[in-house]
Amino acid sequence: MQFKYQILIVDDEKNIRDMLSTHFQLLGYKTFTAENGQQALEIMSGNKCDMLISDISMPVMGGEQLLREVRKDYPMTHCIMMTGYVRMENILSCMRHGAETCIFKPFSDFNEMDEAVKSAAAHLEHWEAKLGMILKMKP
Amino acid sequence: MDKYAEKILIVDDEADSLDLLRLNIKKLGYDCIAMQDSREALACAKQNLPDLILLDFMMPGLTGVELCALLKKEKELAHVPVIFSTGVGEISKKAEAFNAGAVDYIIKPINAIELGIRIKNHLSLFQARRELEQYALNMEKLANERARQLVHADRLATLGTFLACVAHEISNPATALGGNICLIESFLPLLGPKTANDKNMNIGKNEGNSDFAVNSMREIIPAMKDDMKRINCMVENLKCFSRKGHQEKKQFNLIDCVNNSIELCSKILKNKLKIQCSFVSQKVFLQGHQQQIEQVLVNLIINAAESVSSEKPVNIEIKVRSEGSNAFISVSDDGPGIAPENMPKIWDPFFTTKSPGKGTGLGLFIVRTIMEEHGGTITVDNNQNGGARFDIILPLINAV
Repeated sequence: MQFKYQILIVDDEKNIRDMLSTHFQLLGYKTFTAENGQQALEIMSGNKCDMLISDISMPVMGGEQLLREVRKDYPMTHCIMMTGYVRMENILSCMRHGAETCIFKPFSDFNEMDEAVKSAAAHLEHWEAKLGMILKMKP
Repeated sequence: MDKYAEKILIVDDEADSLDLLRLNIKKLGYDCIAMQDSREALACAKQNLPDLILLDFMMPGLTGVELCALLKKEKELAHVPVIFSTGVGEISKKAEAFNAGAVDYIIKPINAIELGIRIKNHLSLFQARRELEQYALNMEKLANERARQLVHADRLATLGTFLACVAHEISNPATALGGNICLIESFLPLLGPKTANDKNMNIGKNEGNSDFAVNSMREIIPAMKDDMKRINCMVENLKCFSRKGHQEKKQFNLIDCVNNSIELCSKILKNKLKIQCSFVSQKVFLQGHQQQIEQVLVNLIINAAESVSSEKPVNIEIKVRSEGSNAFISVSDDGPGIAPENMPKIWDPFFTTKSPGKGTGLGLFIVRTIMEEHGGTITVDNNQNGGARFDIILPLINAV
């Protein structure tokens, strides 16, 4: 089965990982999960992750540091952040390091999350289309 | 309204003396009860409860001194000022009079003006003392009430420290729960006939998707139950902790108390601390307010957790044992310990090493107050290999 895109879900809460995983699988994405930033980077080094949905406060390596590493090493990966600690520093940091958005927990529906993923997908599709056009052009 | 006229009891065996005295006292505006027989005077005093008693020194049957001693033994009369009236020849007996409990003496023949002044002085002195006693009683009641309020305020301040963590603790299961509910909503059209209300997700109702839906439900539902339990548990803990304590002291098991505190702190400050405990026995009974002792332990644990600002969790060791008629608790951490110059100050209210706005500094002051309330003590020292150690001693409940 052709998956739309591959999403890496990073959160230290298992129930949240499972919940988001099931949701995006239902929508036709392939999902990976990780407990913290370090595990996330390990997974990304072996798998193509088009998008990242990550919590900010996690043990070992948190979302902020993960975001910085990913923007540096995987510039085409879109990063959607989540946080339970709604504080100015968190939001500013996400913004400055190029995250798509930062979603506040608790959230009771997927609207904002789906919008962000759709927008990221649209961006990726756009560039894929461009690359496709160039490949078709004769030298 | 008639001003209350004080009652004066006069006892004198000489009829003339008695009459003259009665006249003078009435002229001064007081109520007067005159008794000639000293033996009947005691019963009369008990019945009438005078505000002042004037006794003749020399009386047959029951002397003035003997009568005075008897009056002082009566609970309702012991505080009533007694003035002796003595003849010049009896001045040497002054000591006897005062030993018997008299507050003054007046020499016969009695000068009416002098009598009036002495009576007035003693009555107002007595009144003043009574008011002072009442005032002191009220102040003590007020102080006790304030102490209780302060302990409660500290409890709420501690709660404030928790709140950021609690919000996080509730928001995670709430997020998972909320998402799962939406998922079940999405599954509906995949498992049965689609209705107008179903979310339009453009997911085909095929076997693959239906299987996926059913299998997911089998996992989602237990996860939802688990998250709901976590939320309820956190709410319960908060409610318990913020409830105002009972007034009376009750018997409780210190081990339960310590376990509750550890459970609460572990849940809320999850990654910030690692607690190890060792109890020499499972039942250590004390008399007091369990909630307050929990407050003490929670304060100590939070202080330890906050003594370290890095991400590394603080290791805390709690030991409980009983020996003789006391219970011993020690709370030890591997944080930075307490700076020697701060050691004497930590018990002061409002002393804090935290930056302004964080922490009220009430914690240890309240901890000590609670210890005193329970007849216990708390001391602190730095461990040999770093970190602080608080040692608590509390009296055990007497074996029934």
